[in-house]
Amino acid sequence: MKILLFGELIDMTKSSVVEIDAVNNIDAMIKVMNDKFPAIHQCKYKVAVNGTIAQNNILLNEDDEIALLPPFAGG
Amino acid sequence: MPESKKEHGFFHQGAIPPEMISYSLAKHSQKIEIGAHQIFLGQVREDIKEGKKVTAIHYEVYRTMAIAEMGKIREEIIQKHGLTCAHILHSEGVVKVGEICFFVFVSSPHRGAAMEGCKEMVDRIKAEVPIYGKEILEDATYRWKENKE
Repeated sequence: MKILLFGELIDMTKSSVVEIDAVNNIDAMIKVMNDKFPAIHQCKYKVAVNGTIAQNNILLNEDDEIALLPPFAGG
Repeated sequence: MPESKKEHGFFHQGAIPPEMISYSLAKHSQKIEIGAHQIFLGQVREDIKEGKKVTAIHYEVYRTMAIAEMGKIREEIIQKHGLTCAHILHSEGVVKVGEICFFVFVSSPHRGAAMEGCKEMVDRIKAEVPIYGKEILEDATYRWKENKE
């Protein structure tokens, strides 16, 4: 499954899109990402699923659009 | 002048030209039910970060979510304050210090709704829309900008 990355997460992973083996919930996805990129462990970010910020450990489908969003900086 | 907002929904490549703002204002003379406009303009500031001057901000956007969120915020605030109309334009790409990066233009029959609606729209866009900014420093390094909560 694809994970979109933004802001400083792009610098830490050297990529704006990361492909990981499918997982079925957000906590599992975060664990996979932390194992793959230990530097992001200390990063502050929210998880968006299909354009909505997830408030808890929701289930994921393989074709969901998942994005890791550091604090916003518009304006 | 082309209305770039319609072309790519709320985003403008590079700095927002002052002419675009005056053109937008001039078009409203046809809407004679309006009695008040409130305009917010964000300008890139020459901050000092890590002891170095900021020379520009390079904005990057999570487009699908940003466009959906801006549309939702705009609609909610129009309804809440009974606004006649509301326009939002934010830069993408590089904007140098002193240039305009953010334009919110709200109109209503009376001033209270326009003033409150504009402030709420600016605050919510800064807090809720996935826009990122690399502050380009004078030695060509950069740091990621972060809005205060």
